Amino acid sequence: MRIISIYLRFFFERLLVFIGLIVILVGGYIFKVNHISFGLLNLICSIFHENEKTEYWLYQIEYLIFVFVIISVGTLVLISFYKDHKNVRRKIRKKYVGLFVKSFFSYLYAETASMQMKKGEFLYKLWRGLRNEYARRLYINLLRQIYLETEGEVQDRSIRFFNGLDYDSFIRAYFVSPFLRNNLFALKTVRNFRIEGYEKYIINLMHRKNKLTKSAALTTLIQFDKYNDLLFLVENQIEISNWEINLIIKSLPTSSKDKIQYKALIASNLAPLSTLGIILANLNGKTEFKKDIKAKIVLDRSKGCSNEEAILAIVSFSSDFIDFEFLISVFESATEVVQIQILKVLSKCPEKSVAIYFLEWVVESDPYPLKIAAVQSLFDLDMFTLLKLKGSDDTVIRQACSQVLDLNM
Amino acid sequence: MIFIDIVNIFFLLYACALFAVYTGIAILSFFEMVRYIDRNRYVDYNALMSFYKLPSVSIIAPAYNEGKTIVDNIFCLLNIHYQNFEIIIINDGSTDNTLDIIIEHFELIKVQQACELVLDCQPIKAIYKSKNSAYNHLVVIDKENGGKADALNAGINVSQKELFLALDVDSIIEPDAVLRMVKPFLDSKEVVVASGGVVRIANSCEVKDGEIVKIHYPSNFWVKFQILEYFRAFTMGRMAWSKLNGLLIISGAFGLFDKKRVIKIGGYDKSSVGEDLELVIRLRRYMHEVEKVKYKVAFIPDPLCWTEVPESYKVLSRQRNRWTRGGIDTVLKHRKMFLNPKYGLIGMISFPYWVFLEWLAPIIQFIGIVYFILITIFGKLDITVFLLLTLFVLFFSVMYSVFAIFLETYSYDKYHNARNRFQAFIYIFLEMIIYQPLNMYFSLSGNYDYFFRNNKRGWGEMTRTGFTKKNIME
Repeated sequence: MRIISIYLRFFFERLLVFIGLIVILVGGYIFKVNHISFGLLNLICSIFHENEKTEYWLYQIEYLIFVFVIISVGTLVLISFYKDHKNVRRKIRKKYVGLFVKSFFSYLYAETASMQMKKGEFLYKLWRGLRNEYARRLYINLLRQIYLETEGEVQDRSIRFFNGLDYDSFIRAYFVSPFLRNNLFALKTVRNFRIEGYEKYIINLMHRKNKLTKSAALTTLIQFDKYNDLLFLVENQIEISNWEINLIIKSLPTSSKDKIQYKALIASNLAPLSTLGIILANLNGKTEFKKDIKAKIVLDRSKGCSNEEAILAIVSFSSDFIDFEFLISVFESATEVVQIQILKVLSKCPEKSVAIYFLEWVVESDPYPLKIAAVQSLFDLDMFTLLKLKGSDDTVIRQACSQVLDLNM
Repeated sequence: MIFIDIVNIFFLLYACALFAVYTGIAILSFFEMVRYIDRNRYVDYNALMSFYKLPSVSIIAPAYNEGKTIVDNIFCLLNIHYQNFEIIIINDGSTDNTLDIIIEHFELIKVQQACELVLDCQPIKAIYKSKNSAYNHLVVIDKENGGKADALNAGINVSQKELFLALDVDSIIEPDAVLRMVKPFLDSKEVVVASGGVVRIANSCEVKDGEIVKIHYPSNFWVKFQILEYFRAFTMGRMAWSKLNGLLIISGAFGLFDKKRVIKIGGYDKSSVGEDLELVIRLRRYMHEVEKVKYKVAFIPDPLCWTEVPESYKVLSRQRNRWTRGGIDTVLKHRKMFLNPKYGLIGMISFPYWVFLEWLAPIIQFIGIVYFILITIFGKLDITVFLLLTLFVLFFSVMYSVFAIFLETYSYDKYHNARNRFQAFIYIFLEMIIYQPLNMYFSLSGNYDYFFRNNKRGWGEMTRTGFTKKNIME
């Protein structure tokens, strides 16, 4: 029943627009002809005799002027209706929030068990009595907020209370709702309270075209143990955007650090998944995947982003000379941002002479930002070379050295 | 008689095209706005602050003789919420004490920052940074005067970030503006080369510590007209063009660009007074001619930037004259794109729209008025047809503007009060009698200056009241 009412509301607004358009089109026709019949229905245009005298194109102009006036007046009415509706909504919200907050707090902070039970029963009764969808969302949202912003006993009480609510049909209806706000509400509730049993719905939403739904579904799904190894992304070949990469990294539970299927992700044919795997390995310090990442760099040089993150991971993992040698070998093919990182890390190279030779070469031949990064590394590695470069005939090199030596920079 | 018929048919067809395009814009903007709000209402932009990878941004703001307001303007920029950014203020050879004020207030000292002059600009005299770590995002460039485009090029030369936000220094931007503008760069399937935002009118707003604290409906006569104009231009026009990925202009007051690509195309055109329009068209041209990949110029309809608009007839006329000259210059420079299928929708729709309905519209309007006077003198005017067509234009314009007010109320509702909406409604009628004819006159004078007085580059003095003078709450 709830699903039907949600769908009715969804189609009602669209139906109104459609009816408006039909009325405009049919109106033009009815005003021009004497009468029109649909079976038993017989519409007679009373201003026909006036229109009869007008030239056809001028009649159309007259009719359009009439339509413009109607639309303008209608829009003005709509503006005022919309403002009133917003004000009413604000008042309703204020009323409900006041009631819910008071009730939740008196339940959560009740001093005795019997008092708590009494208050709890009132709240359950209140939930069952709420017929307004907006109020129901508000109720759950407030409880969710309390759960997220409290800790210890109060937090435990709020989750226990939530589990006692009869929310199943409500959440299910919101998962299949055509309204985005309802889908997001269901996802947020399931994600924050970690309610299991809705994975089927979440996966459905994950395949939606809407980016917001997709990313919210992804971040919800990875909260569950079954999915936080991220293997489902590889198995289902799910394309993710940079936005989603960031969201996944941000929302992954800390406990999943050792469960993530780094190898599968890094080896994925989809560049964004490979990038995600590399970034996660880098952030979680999984140096054991250094070889896989290096192989990815060598095999996959054309895939810009993946390659960039892979080199950055090696920059972070670099410890022995082989790593630095590798970084020097990929330097030319890297982007400027990555090149700067390579130059910075070279100051830690165990084979100083190799690093100095390379950095000197960069200072002499590469563009400005790289020159500066190279000079910075030389500052840490070998002051003698830096001073030598400061006396160079090349103004640009001298300026780069001055910048690095300027303590105010 | 045949001549009159031909002219009549020409005007009728032109008007039909005009009304069809505007109707299309209204419909497209409505659906795009609903879609945008639906999809972005629930986005937590603050979450972006803790993202692993966000593109770094340089905010580049040229300043010329802004001594009165510069400190507040910089404070406004320092309030921005973002992870990795720098604020580059360019003192473009100010003749007042702009630089001294910045140096003193923000404890600046000269630094030896090296920079490669990849884009052509006037010589940079010095680069300053602050001793105070609270202002470590701030970089100030002192250079010789070269105009806005030149100053922006200098800022790009010094910039060390991936994207740059070109900004009028006297604009006030919302603290989360950069976060919102960056989003398309993260979640689009296509390559995003630039993103533009809505510019709103700040005259009469209350400003405190570089932030808008209260929005008032303007009291100035000229500003009230511009409010309506900005609603139509940003909430409707640009929204619709962005839906088609046909946006040709990103406001010079507020636009985020991919620095690497802008450098590749040679930066801002110093010879143009419409540098914002010119840059976007050249960027699009480059994408079609060189990179040949799917790309887009994104548009964010959220009101993120507030700027002061002309409050007097004189300043308004100068601004519109300059806009017209900038438009003509750009259209002529890139005429190769006109109705050229090689440039896809840009060449076939956006560019011709700009030519016929932006540049030529006031000229055709003027010819129409002259023609009307002539046929009246010669007794060829059909009074019924004339009245009907006048009413048609009047009510279409009313409907279009009312719809723009509706979209604004539905989407952001920045002017809450019913009195303001009533005033806006009254100004819809006044606009047709006073403002539209004046706008036509400003455009015609711009055309005259460009073609007959050879004034292609003159900027004209833009007097601003400034927020400090009357609006900042103590």
